[in-house]
Formats: sequence, structure tokens, C-alpha cells
Amino acid sequence: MIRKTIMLFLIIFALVSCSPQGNIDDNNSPWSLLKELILIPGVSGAEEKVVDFIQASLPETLEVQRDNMDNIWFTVGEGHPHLLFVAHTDELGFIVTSITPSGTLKVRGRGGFFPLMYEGHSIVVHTKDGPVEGIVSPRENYRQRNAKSLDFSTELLEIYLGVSSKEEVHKLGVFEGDSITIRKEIVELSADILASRAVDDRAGCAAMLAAVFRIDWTNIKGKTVSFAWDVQEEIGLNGASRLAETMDVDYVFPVDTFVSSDGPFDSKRFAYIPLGSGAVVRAIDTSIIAPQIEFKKVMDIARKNNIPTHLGNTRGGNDGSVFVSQGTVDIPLSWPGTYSHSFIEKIHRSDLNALTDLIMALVKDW
Amino acid sequence: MKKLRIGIILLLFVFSFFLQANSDDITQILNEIFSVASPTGYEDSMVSTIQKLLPADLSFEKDSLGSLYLVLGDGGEHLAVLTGIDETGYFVSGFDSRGYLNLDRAVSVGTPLFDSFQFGHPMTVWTQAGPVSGVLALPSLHIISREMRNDLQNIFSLENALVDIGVRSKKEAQARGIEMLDPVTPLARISQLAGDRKSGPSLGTKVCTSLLLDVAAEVSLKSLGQKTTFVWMAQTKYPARRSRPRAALGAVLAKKNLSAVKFLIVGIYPLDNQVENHLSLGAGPILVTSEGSDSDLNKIIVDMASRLNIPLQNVTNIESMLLAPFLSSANVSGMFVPVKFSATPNEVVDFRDVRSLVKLISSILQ
Repeated sequence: MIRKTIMLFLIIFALVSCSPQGNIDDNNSPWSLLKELILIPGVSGAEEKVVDFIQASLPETLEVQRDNMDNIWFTVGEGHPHLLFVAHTDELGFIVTSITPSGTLKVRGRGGFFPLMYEGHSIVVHTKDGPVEGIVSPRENYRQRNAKSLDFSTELLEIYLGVSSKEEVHKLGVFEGDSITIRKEIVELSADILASRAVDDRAGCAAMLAAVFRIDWTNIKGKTVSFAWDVQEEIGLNGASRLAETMDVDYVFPVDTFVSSDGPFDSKRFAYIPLGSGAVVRAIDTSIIAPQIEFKKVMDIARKNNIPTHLGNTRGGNDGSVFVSQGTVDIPLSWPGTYSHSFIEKIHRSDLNALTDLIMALVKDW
Repeated sequence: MKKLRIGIILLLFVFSFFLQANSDDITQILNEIFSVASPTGYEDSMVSTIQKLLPADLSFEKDSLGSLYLVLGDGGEHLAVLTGIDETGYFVSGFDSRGYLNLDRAVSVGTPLFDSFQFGHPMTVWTQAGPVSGVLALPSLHIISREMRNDLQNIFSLENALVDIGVRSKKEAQARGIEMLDPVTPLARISQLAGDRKSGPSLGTKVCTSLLLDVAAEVSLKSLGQKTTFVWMAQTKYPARRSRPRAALGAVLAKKNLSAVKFLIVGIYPLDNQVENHLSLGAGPILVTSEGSDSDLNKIIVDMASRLNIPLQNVTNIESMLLAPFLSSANVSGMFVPVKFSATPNEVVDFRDVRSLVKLISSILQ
């Protein structure tokens, strides 16, 4: 009987410690960091608050650098190989381009999305005096029978703030150049699944940040490791391009969404990696084809460390692609995510934990 | 003289406090009821909430549709004050084998885009065991087929509405407590716009429900000169069969049940519907009159508004399912709250109009 109890205890202990979530359940878990990061506004070109949060969270022992675009990074170790892990801090949204005499805002989109999703919904204008709530006006003929015949594009889009003149808009503190996000909501579909805007790429930011807290930075030997959080990915990989000009690295691991076809509308012909199955090596996407020998090495390290990891191909570009022409090997690391570039980007906790573990394992074993 | 001045200051202070308290009442009530789901045919929770928010010693009656009746006062000509409490919503009409929920709705809506507005946004399923969070699925931007992208406006229709609650089978969905015909509503959140304007899904209806609650709570503490019946009507977005003009089922039944000789109907007036452009938010409640009618109640309303310095807006001969059953009575008045962007996820209401209407109706009843 005693032997049986001890066996049972040992089995439970082994299961808990083998689980990808086992060693990540404190306040700095990727999941709780993700939830904090999601709610910070950071439209492409206006990422300052996200970057401030990450910078303030980093241990003081790391020497953090920040450029005038708001890219931040730190580097530890020396010699080759030089590994760079990078996640982007920006998100989709709008910038106010003009204010009409009737007090509505005209905007320019930042990043790619379906404008239809915004129609009639609440947004937040981020002014220097604080947030101001508004609504994306529905199309003018929205109550008419032929409403669907009108194309709802960003050019037609107008923001209503509840006022009726340009002067009143200015009184609210809203000016041209202010950024706009949807009013964000974190929908917890279960204890392990959430859906929200800006999971792309705050999940990547969170995984890297959580890894930073868990890596023994005094023990980086025979290689150089850099972690960077960059800006303006959604509008042309601009932050990464700047980093590529200044950093000479052998390997870049962009940490970003693997757009999975695990949604009801998506063809399962490719990109089918179900949520909850682990981390993903995004070996082929719209911007790169990772060398086979290199992504196999990632898979070997994942296997050795018992981290559930899958190989897949999907669409979309990645920050590492701008390094490739200078001889850097680009191997994107991901989690499977559905409903990409929407307000309900869906993610599974165990995938984010596996991704964090994979980053840590690569720093240790590469 | 000094004492008189202090007295006046004190009086002004007390008066302003009273006004403040009053203005807070309606907002407070709205906050209490706003997240209570009340789609047509599923008004039970709202009716219970209304009862809970009114003094415990009042007695209520319900009709066969679930409409709530409260009689106050005694003697004099019997007046009935009525409003509809049902919002436009959905119910679970089936389970997809992959765990998604199919939706249907029983009522027609004010815009052909009503379903399109919900795609990619949070929804709540109201089960017997409590609310379950979900999102209305949409295609992933990066991997959507060209055909689907070009036809997105038609894809976003009730035919393709699938609620994702983070499960993978019908069995799992049922294990979460979801049953056929459970009501489903968009996530209820109020946005605070500039000035005294707020917005949210079905805000107009929720405001009317709150408004009548506020008035009933206030006058229930006083002695009324006449018998007054308050009715919070269920199923007012559903037309009674064979009614000409189309009349709200809940209103037809309420009219049949009431022995009142005067009817004051409180509803919403969609500003986006107007042919004439003379109505606006914040310019006062809208008094609906019929051409050639000589309603005493209208005269009382106009007189009282003038005494209280409350601006009124006027429309004549509108088509309203809510008013239709009462039009045969000599003494019927419609007092409507102006609503911008009605039937969208953000109906906009100006609370100056709402407070004016509360004050006006309370004063008339007293």
C-alpha cells in the first residue's frame, strides 16, 4: 500500500514537471504577460507604451539599448554564432489624418485588415491627454435595403466622437497624427484559450519576456545572444530593417504568429496545426524558406527538451526576412493562431508556454 | 440678510445635489441592467431585474408573454405608461460537429448589416448554468481564398454565423451547459462619448427600460392623483399576426389587458431613418403626434415641457409597431428618445434627452 502511494505520488510529480506549463505559473508567466501586453495600445509608429512596458520589465543587469525608432534590444555573450530573437511590438489600427468640419475623424489604416470588422464598433483614440472613445460610423445607407452593395473601405471610414465641430474635437484633445485602436476586450473562451486583438504579436513579446526571466544570462558561453523587440512590422518590417542595418547576426528567430487554418472558414490544405498542439517552426511563409538543415536542428533541440513542436507552412511575412540577404539564417518560431488580424485572434496557453520553452532551449543548446 | 444669503446658498446646494442624485439614478440603473440579456422572447431575466430594482413592497403582475405590470396610485383617469424591453438578439439553433454553434434570430432587424456587424466580435451565450463567452468566427486574413475575400460582405451573413466557444465537439459544447435555443447576444459594453453621450448595443431599448424604472421608483414613493400602470413589454420586436398596420405583439396584448383611457408610449426614434433632417441628439425628447389628432395627453406634455423648460422635438405620422395598437385610442402619446446609429453595435443616446424625459414623465404623473 505504501509503495503504491509513493508510486502514485512520483507519477503525479513526473507528470507535473514534464508538462510544458509545469515550470511557468508565476506572475511572469507568458500567459499573464500576454494579457497585460494586449491591453497596451501600440499602433505601428506609436509603440512607445508597449516598448516602455517591456523595457521597464527587463532585469536591470541587462544592458538595454533603444534607438530613435523605439526598437529595444540587449546582447549577452560573445563570439559566434550570434543568435537574435525578435518580436514586434506594434499592432494594427489607424492614424488620424484629418478632422472634418462636422467633427468626425478621417483616418489611414496601419497594417492589413478587413475594414468591415470595424463598422459600427467602438474605438479608442490615444491622445497625449489620454484615451478618447469613439465609434466607427456605419456606412451612410446602412439601414437601406441595398446597404450591402456599398464597399466599406478605409477611405470611406469615419470616426464619430459625439461632437459636431472641429473645435469640439480639438477640445477633446484629439489631433491629426493620434493613433486609434479598437476598444480591446480579452475574451476568455476557457482557462487556456483567449481571443483578443493584438495577440499578434504581443504573444511573441510575452514569450520572449518570460524567457528572459528564466534564462541564466551569466551562463551564455561560446555564443552571442540578442533579444530585440522591434517596431513597425505591420507596415513594412521597418523596425527590423533598421536592426538589420546595425546588427550582424548569424541566426535570426522572429517570434510571431503561425496563421493556422484551424478555423471554420479556412481550407485545411495547408497551415493546419490545431491550437493546443505546441510551438511551431514556421519553415515556409510568404517571405522566406528556412534552410532544411537549420529547422531540423530546431526540431532536434525541441525533441531533446521534450517541447511539443511542429513544422508548418503558412502565409505572411516575418521580421527575420530582412536579414536574409546579408547571409543570416532566418527561422521563424511561432504558436498556432486563428482569426489572424482580427479582434478575436485566438491562442492556446500551452502553445505559448511551449514557445517560451523552445526559446529558452535554443538559447541553451544552439 | 446674511442669513437669507446663506439659506439661498444652502438651498441651491441641496437642489444641485438633488439634480445630481437624479442624474446619477438613470446612469446607475442603466449600468445595473445593461448587461442583462433580453432578446425577444427571452425577457425573463430582465423582468426579474426590474422587479429587484424596485421597492420590495410593490406588487407586480405578468401576462402570458412575460410583460411586467406595476399599478401605482388610485382614482382619476387611468393612465398607462409602456415601453418595450426586448433587444435584437440570437439563439442557438444548432451544434456544428466541430463544436461551433449555429445561430438564428426570430425577429427582423433595422438594417441588412445587423449580422455582418457581429462577425469577429465577442458574443455571450446565456445558459441555465450562466453565461458562456464566445466569438463569432471569421476567416483568417492571411490565408483566406481570393474568392472568399472578394465576397466577404456576403460571407458575413447569418447563414455563416458560427460561435466559437473554444471547444471541439458538440459534446464539449453541451458539457459547457449550452442547450438548443439558449439566447445569444453581442457582448454588452457601454462606451462613453463626448459630452453626455453614451453608446452600446441595444442601448436605446435599455435606456427606455431604465427610464421607466427610474420614473416608477421615484413616483412609487409619492401619492399619485391617478391610477397609473407601468408596463415593461416583452416581444415588441415581434409582429402580431394579421395586424394592420404591423403592430408589436407585446403591445397588442398589453393594450388588451389594460383598462386605461390614456396611453403614454416610450420608445426610441432612429435618427438615421429620417427623411427630414430636423431631428437631432440632445435637442430634447421627440413627441410623436398623429395629424389631425387632438390628444389631451399631448397638450399636457407640451404644457409641462414648457413649464419645465424642456425642449421637445416633434414628428407626425410615423410608422411604429409599438404605437400601432394604441392609435385607435383618443388619448395616446408617443415620447421617443432620439437614437443615432440604431440597430448597430453602438446605438448612441444623449443623456440630456433621457433626463429630460424622466423629469417630464415624473412631473406629469405627479
